[in-house]
Order: sequence, then structure tokens, then C-alpha cells
Amino acid sequence: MRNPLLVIVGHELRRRKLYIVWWSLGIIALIALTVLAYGSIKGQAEQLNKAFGSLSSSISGFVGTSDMFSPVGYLNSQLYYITLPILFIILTVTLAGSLLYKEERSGTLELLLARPVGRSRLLLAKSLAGTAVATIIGAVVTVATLLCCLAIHLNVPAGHIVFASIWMVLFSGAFGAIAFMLYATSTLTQHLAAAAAIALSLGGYILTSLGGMVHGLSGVAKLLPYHYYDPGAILNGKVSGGLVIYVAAIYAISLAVALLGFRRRDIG
Amino acid sequence: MARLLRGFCRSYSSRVLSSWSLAAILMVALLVHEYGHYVVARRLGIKVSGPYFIAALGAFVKLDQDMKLRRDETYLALARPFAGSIMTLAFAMGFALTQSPYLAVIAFIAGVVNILQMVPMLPLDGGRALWGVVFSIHPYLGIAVSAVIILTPVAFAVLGSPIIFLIFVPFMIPEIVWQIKAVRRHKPLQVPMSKRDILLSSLACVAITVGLGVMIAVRCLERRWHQRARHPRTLLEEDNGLRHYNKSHRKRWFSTSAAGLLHAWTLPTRIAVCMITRLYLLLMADNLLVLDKLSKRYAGTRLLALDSISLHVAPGEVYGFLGANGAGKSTTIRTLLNFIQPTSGTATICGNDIVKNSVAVKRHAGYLAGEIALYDRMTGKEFLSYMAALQPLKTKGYTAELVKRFEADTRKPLGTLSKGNRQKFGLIQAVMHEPDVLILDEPTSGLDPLMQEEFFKLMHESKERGAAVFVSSHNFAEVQRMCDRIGFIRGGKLVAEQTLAALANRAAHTFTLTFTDTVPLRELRTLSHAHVTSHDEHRVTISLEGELTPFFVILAKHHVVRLEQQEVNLEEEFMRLYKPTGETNA
Repeated sequence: MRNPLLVIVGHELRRRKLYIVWWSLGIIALIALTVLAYGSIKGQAEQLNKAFGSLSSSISGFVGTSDMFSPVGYLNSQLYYITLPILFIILTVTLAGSLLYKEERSGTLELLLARPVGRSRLLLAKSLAGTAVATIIGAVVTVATLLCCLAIHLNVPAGHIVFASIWMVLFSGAFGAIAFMLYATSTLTQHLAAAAAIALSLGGYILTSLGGMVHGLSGVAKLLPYHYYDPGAILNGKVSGGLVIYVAAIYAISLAVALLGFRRRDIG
Repeated sequence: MARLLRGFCRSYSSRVLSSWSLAAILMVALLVHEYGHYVVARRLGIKVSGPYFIAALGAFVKLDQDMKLRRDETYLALARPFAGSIMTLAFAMGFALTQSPYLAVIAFIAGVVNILQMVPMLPLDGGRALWGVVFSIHPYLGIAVSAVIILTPVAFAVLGSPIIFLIFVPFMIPEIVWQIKAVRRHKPLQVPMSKRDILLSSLACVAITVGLGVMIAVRCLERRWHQRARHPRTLLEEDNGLRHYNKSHRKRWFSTSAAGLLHAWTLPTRIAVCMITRLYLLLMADNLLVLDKLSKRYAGTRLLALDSISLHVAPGEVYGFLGANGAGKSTTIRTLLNFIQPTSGTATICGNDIVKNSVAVKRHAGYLAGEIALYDRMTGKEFLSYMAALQPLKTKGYTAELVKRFEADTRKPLGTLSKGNRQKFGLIQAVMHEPDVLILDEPTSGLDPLMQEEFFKLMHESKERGAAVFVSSHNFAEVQRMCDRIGFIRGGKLVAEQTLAALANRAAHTFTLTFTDTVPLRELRTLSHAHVTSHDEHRVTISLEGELTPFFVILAKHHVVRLEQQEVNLEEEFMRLYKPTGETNA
């Protein structure tokens, strides 16, 4: 018998061929449109930055940077700070739902559990499959961004783009992991679990953005992952190991809780 | 004469008597032990009838005629216990006859091999593999090898020659090699045993081997002391009738007696441990599916969905689980497969606890859900390949055979198939790995009559193979057609359990009688277990249970012009049992 873990991962990837293709095409189109559009404002970057700098600092909080029109600032504000993370959060949260919740609702999860595959192993296989899908689409994002930057001669080091993409996928994936944990441990409906994960991410974004304007909120924002998400710094070549540990801890805790909860709860 | 008798008693009586009595006990232990193998043989789907040893001998001939049988399982399930039993018998007899410590050495080696078999959690595999190879070359070769293996230690024991032991060694080496190969192949456990059983057996083996080790040491010392005791000086003292109970003599006498006692103690310990563990294993193993006070209460509810359900299903038995919608049939099944956790009570499948060893349980179980859910975008072929990749198949090509038998279209996506065609795939995935226990929820739902017929054949084959089948249904025709025993569940409680034969027997004796004169109601009502269901002046309908003779005795006294016996109506019987007590009496 082949390793059931690999069998399930292979099966999940085959099932999601079209899913991966459509998401990749959509994201490539978005990146292409966004990055290639920079060509038209490239010459006026300085003036635009000056104009943007004259606005309130709280406005810059919403785009994550005060430098919005330099090559790094543009990539950060238009793609890596909010657009790509939101898309990836949606991707990973819905993926988690489809891997576990939908399969449980449709009854096919019982087919798998009726085979000699332990619950932990099944959950691990599902999480690996989800990670593989997110990694493939993350790789597409990286390659598409690099190619588009190359096409318009955007002066951002390739290594920084790669790191920013990896960090974005890791950060967004953490919310997918939280959603996965919720599906695995509770019998929440798909919408509730998805809403909880997305609310956590969007709430974090809003609180972090408002933190500059409302003094009391900055403390609360520090508790949420979005507060630590700073792709601009990575695009400028600054990587913080502490942040990686923070996100890694979210993954580890989510997986551990998911494993413990899924082993004990009733299915169906 | 008296002195001779006294000398004999002093020298041998205790040992001879204890040895022969121990040999007798060992024989009993052996029979119990072999019954364990018999259970295994049955579980592997080998039909064995009559005395076990005769059946074991007969199996060689039977298997020779049909070489297509699953050799590795069939041969070995019978051949090894047969050879093993003779060998153990030889040990017991040889030891009783010769008192040879060499025989104890062989028994010790056998004990070590036993431990080796137990530790990798693959009991019987290695040994059975060797015997399978030997017997598959030719059965007579197998018998010849058995004879050598059996007779060598006996000869060794009788003659006391270590050279003879060398004859035994070549037969031991391949056995050990096959053990290692079997472990490396990681062949799945063919004989279902839980971890607890294996642990217990392993402990028993360790106890046996330690016991034997002590026994060997004691016997060796005993011989040495015995030789010292036969020293001419000692003999001279005895012949002269002198009683020099000096200090050293007393010490030796005491030591020898103590050794005898110790010897007498180790062998019964070995036997007792062996018997207890085997009996325990037998009790655990006889039923493939056991539910013991299984209860389930869903979160947020007060009522029990399952209330102390206790039942068992034996190998080769089809158990029908009947009940109305919401009675708890599906909850029972889902609990058995560990989809939901029991609130209290336990259940085992092939000796494995459904919660603690759920993966091992799934290895032995095949499941068909009531509402079959399939991957709609997958074709039948892809689906079956996926299922097969997650569960090893015992027979190559069996899935293809099932596809052919059920005329399943494996090229179309499952989502485009009708309910009946989807059900076929559900059935195929449940049985394609030839499980020991089949758990089926409404299995014929959606199948056309031809396919239903095929399904019944399949169930018959599973039964013949020794599988236990647990079928949940409310289709009486289906149950009547294939079940041996039926359990009725109502409100989460098992309200009745009967064999189909008993149930049919109860339902069969419903007669409608027409008399020329008035119905002898008074006399008919005197019959025990009789129930007059309706009557008028000349006609009566009566239900009877048990003996019919008193009924016909009454009829013989009257002019009966017409006697009709109603057909077996299981549904009616079910309703009678299923209704709450108050309604039944009404």
C-alpha cells in the first residue's frame, strides 16, 4: 500500500487542477494590470509622492506606506500590502473549507475515514494539500510579479520580490490555518468559520490602519497579526526573524489544536 | 520388595507422577491452544467441520485439489497448528518419558521463537509463510518436513545426543529467515488481535520462556545432585540401612526436593499462563463484532440516541439490524466506525477497540453508508483506484470481477450516474478488500432486482468466507433473504434479538380452521402459547408457538373441514415485537 498521506495529497491536488489554474490566471491578470500600469506614472512618481505626502498620515496608514509611487512603494501599496493578502486570505480560507467542511457535509469524508487512515493523518494530508495549492499559486504570483517588473524595468531587486511574495503567502496562509482549525475542531458552518477567519484578518487591517488615528486602538492592533505585516520593509530588504516566528507559531498552534480537536469530535 | 518400592518412590515417584499428570494438563492446554488456531482458520474463511485434528489432516487433501485457494492463509492456518500440536505433544510425552533436560532446551528455543513471533506484532505470519512455501511445493513434502521437525526433538530427547539437534537446526533457520522477511514486508496482521491481546500473549511467552529457563537450570542441577546421590559411598550407606543424616546429606536432600518442587511449580505456571491467555483470546476473538453496553448521547440533548446496546456477530453470520427511522440504526453504525464517539460502553471489531484502535478496525471493516456519497467529478475507475490506494486489496483482480458482476460503468463521472448505479460503486468499494466485517446501511437501496440478486450472492460468498455481516435495514424481504439473526432497535434500545429461524418458527404457526360444528374455543384457549386472533361460529384463526401436537389432538376430536396455514410474515412478527408492550397486548 502506498503512503495514505501521499495518496490523499495527490488526490486533492488532482481534484483542484482547475481551481489552481483559474486562481493563477486571475492573479496573473491582476498583477499584470497593476504592475504594467505603473509604466504610465513612472515619470511622475516624485510629484505624486509629494502630493500624497501632503495628505494626512492616517490616510497613508490604510495603504501601509507614505511612499506610494516609488517602485517599492507602488508594489507595496498596490499589491503586497492589501490586494494580494486579501485575495490569498480568501483563497486559503475557502480552500480550508473545501478541504474539510465541504467534504464533511457531502459525506465523502466518511468514505476516507472508513479506510485505515487515522484522523490525524487525514488532517495532516489535507493541510499538506492546502499548503501545496497555496504554494503553487504563491509561486505563480512571484513569477508573474518578477516578469511584469522586468517588462517595465521596475527597479526592485528580484530577491526582495521573492521574499515579499513568500512572506505574503505565509501571512495570508495563517488565516487559512485558523479557518482550518475552526473547521477541524468545531461543527461551525462554513460561513461562520470563514467569517471568523476573514474578520480576524480584515479587523486586524482596519485596527492597524486606524491605530495611527485612534490612540487606544494601537494597543489592540498589536495583538493581531496584521500589525506585524510590513511587506514594504521586506521589499526594502529588511526581514525580521521575530515576525516569522510569530506566524510560524500561528501555524503550529492551529495545526496542533486542529489535530487534537479533530481526533475527538463527531463527524457529520 | 518394600525397600525397592521405597527406593523407587524416593527416586522417581514424585517426578514420574508429576510429569505424567503435567503431561495430561499440557494436553488439555494444547487442545485449548489449538482451538485458538481453529478459530483463526474459520476466520480466514476455511470451513472446518468435525473434530479439528481430522479436519486439519483432511485440509491437506482438500487444498491439494484446489491449489487456487489463498495458499499463504489456508495452508498455514491449518498446517502449522497441526504440526505445532504434534510437536508440543511430543515435547510433553518426551519430557514425561525421559525427563531429559535437552527437551526442555528445545522447548526453550521454541519459546524464544514464540517471542520473536509476538514482538513484531505479526503473529503467525512468519511461520505460516514457511509452511505455505513447503506445502505449496507438495503437500507430502510438507508432511515429511513436519515429521522431521516433530521427530527430531523426540529423538534428541530420547537419545540425548546433541548431534541429532543439528538435524533440527536446518529446519529452524528458514523459519527464522521467513520471520524476518514477513516482518520486512510488513504484511498486515491477518489474525486480528488488539494491542492488549498481543501484549498479553507476549507477556505469556516471556513468562513461559523464563519458566522454562528456570526449569532447565533446575533439571540440570537435579541431574548433578542425582549423580552425586548415586555415589557408591551413598549407596553403601543406604544398603547397610544406615541413616547418616549428616549435615551435607540433608542439605543435598533438601536441595533436590526443592528443585523438584520448583520444577513442579514452573510447568503448571507455564500451562496456566498459556491456558488463561488462550482462553482470553478465544473469548475475545470468537465474535468479530462485539458491542458492550454501547451508548451515545449527542451534545445538547438529554435523551440517549443509543442506550446500552449489547450484541455480537460471529464469523460467517449475517446480522440484520431492524428499526424505524430515527431508532438508532445509523447512530450505531456511525459509532462502530468511530465517526461519532460513544458516550459510554465499548465495542470491538476483530478484537480491536473501535475508539482506541480505530485504524486497525478499518483494516478489517468494509462500510457502505445509507446515503452513499461519492466524488461526483471522478469516474468510477478513478474512484475505485483511489479507494484501493487507501486500503490494500487481498486478491488482485477482485475489484475488476466485482465491476463485471455488478455491470458498473467505470468510465462515466459518478455525478452523472443514477442512484442505483452509484449504489453499485458504494457496494464495490465496501467489499473489494474482502473485509472480515461488513457494515452495511440499507445496502440494496436503489438496486434493480437483478443486481439485488447479485448482492445476495455476494453476501453469501462473504458469509462462506467467514466474514461477519452487520446489515441495517427496514426492508423485511432483504433481511429475510440473507440474515441469520435479527436485532430490533427502538428508541436507541435493543428491544429484541432472535435468529431468523426462531422468528420464522414463531410466525409460521398461524392457522385458520373451519369446523362443521361450533369452534371449540374453550379447548383451544387451554393450549399454552396459543392466541386466538379472530373467530366466528365455525371459523377461527389461531397463532401457536412451540409444540403443535396438543393442538392436533384437539382437532382430532372435532370435524375440521378446512385447515389453512398462513405464510411466514416477518413484517407482522416484527410489528408485534416492535410495538410497545401495551399495544402488543391490545
